[in-house]
Amino acid sequence: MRPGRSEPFASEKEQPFLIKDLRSLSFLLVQPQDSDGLALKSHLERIGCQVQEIWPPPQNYPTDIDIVFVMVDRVTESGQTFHWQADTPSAVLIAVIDYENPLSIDRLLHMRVNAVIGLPIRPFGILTNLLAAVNNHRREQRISLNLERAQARLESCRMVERAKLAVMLAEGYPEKVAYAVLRELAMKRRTTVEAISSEVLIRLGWSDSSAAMRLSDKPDWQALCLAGAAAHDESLTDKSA
Amino acid sequence: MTSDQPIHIGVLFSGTGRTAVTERSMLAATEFAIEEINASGGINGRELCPVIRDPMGEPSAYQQLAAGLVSEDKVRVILGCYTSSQRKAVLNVVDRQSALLCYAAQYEGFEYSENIVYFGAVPNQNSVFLARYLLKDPAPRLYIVGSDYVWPRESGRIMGDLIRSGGGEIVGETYLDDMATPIHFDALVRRIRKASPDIIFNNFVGEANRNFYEAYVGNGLDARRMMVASLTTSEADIREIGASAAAGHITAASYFASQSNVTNQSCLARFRTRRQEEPYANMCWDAAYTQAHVVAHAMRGGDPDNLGSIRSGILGASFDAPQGLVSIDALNAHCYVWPKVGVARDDGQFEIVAETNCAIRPDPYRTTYEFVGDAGGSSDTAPPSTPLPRISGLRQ
Repeated sequence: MRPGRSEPFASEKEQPFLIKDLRSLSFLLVQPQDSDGLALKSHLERIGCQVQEIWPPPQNYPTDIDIVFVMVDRVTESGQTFHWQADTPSAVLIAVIDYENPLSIDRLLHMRVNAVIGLPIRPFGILTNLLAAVNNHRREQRISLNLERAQARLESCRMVERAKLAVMLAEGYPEKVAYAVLRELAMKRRTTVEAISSEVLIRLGWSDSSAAMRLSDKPDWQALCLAGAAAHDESLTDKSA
Repeated sequence: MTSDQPIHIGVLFSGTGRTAVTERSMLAATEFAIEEINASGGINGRELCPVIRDPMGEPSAYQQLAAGLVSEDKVRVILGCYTSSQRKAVLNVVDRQSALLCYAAQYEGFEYSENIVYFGAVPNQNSVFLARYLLKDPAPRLYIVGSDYVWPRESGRIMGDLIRSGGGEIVGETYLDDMATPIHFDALVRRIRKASPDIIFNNFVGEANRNFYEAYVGNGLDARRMMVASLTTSEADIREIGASAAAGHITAASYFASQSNVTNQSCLARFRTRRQEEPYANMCWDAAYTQAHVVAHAMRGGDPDNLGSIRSGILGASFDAPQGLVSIDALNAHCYVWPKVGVARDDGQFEIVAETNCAIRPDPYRTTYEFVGDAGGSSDTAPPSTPLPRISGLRQ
């Protein structure tokens, strides 16, 4: 989900999502129109939230929804299906439950709900529960984004290391010189060291997919160095801009 | 149940203790309203019979006595409480045992219960109005004080946000412990004097407020040198503080006894005639009087022994109160009120220097307080053409 209407979560470190921001969020209640549904909707409106209702459960959710409340037992009772991408949720998910038995708890855990509210609706505590859930969800999103970035960085480090090694072996350069060669190439071609490393590995047949390493195959490598001197090379995309 | 039996209603105010001054006035207003209700035929012929309990200022006693009122005296409705801790204590009881508390004091908001109706103001009503008044002078410098519990802290936070967003400055903020003695109040006032604000925003209530004013006067301060602004210092408090110490200071409230409107003046006159005493009317007196009448009206219009019927009769109802025509918001069960700013006079009454031209909608869950651009405009003001909801047919 979007981490908050105001700021992107990547930059805001551990700043909590505060109560003052609450009214900027939009809510979708997946519930039939009955007195429990009305009680929940009324309380969220009392708090000042922007609330929409939908029934039966939709196939997917608009991206501008920040928080989804679902009355899970009503969904089951009426023979409906609640479609939810538990692995890539588009919003904070809060379950509203009638029952608390092993089966229904299992189901909630598989849905990866961020919070649970029991029926009948009791206004006290909803606001706090809601804010805690939003904050936990945002932190989870932030952590997984950071993890993705760290993995990408790790991958690119590994590639540069391999390319450096390849140049060292091919040319007999020491490590520092091999790296300097890659960097110079990258600068000439106005691209990144990672992109050059990847190309070097392909040309030398060192890419992960090639079965054997042929250190003696130098022509391609030489060609690359020459090409590096040329002004353009369509095969490399300019990422430095 | 036969229809000629009296209907009991719980009344829970302290005659002694730290906030007794205001609570005694609320009790008098409640008794007076119930006398009026019975004089005009009671609840469709049945007498409305108050069961009065005195918790003597102890929150735990509020809870115990409320429990007794509900389970032994079988009351459906309790009129009572002044502070937030008292209200929370009673909320515990009414939530579990299905009764309704009518609460006549202003408080910090952020509460809703099916078992409470709130007749006092919340911060989007009086705080905003007071801040707008204080911001008339360019860039006021405020020092915020109060006791250390939820109301002063929330009220201080909100006023700080409002004043800063309007170009003013908060030069200090101090909250004193419950156990603070006159020595602590003296030290506080010295500290304030050193910071030399234009205005002290005072959130002390009851006894603490008296201690504060004693230290204030003791340090040679007066309204010309350093004005005190408050949301809680009412006519009842001024009786304790002393009119000369309080003179010149300002309070924002939904009601002042000095209001010249006919409803108020005739209500005060009736009080004097009936009870042969001075009303000592103040904002809580007005709300306590109002809530008793609104409850009676709801009881008359439905089943007076059924809680759901009483509650839905109250929601959306309106009443020509001494402060002005008020109504109860059906969604959040809080009251539309008429904020005013008064300057305390030498006789302990207030000179009204600013008032709204319409009742302000309650927004108990409002989280952000700031003036954007023109501090004079307000989104809280209902368009003047919107009629207030009258006694509505909101039956569930």
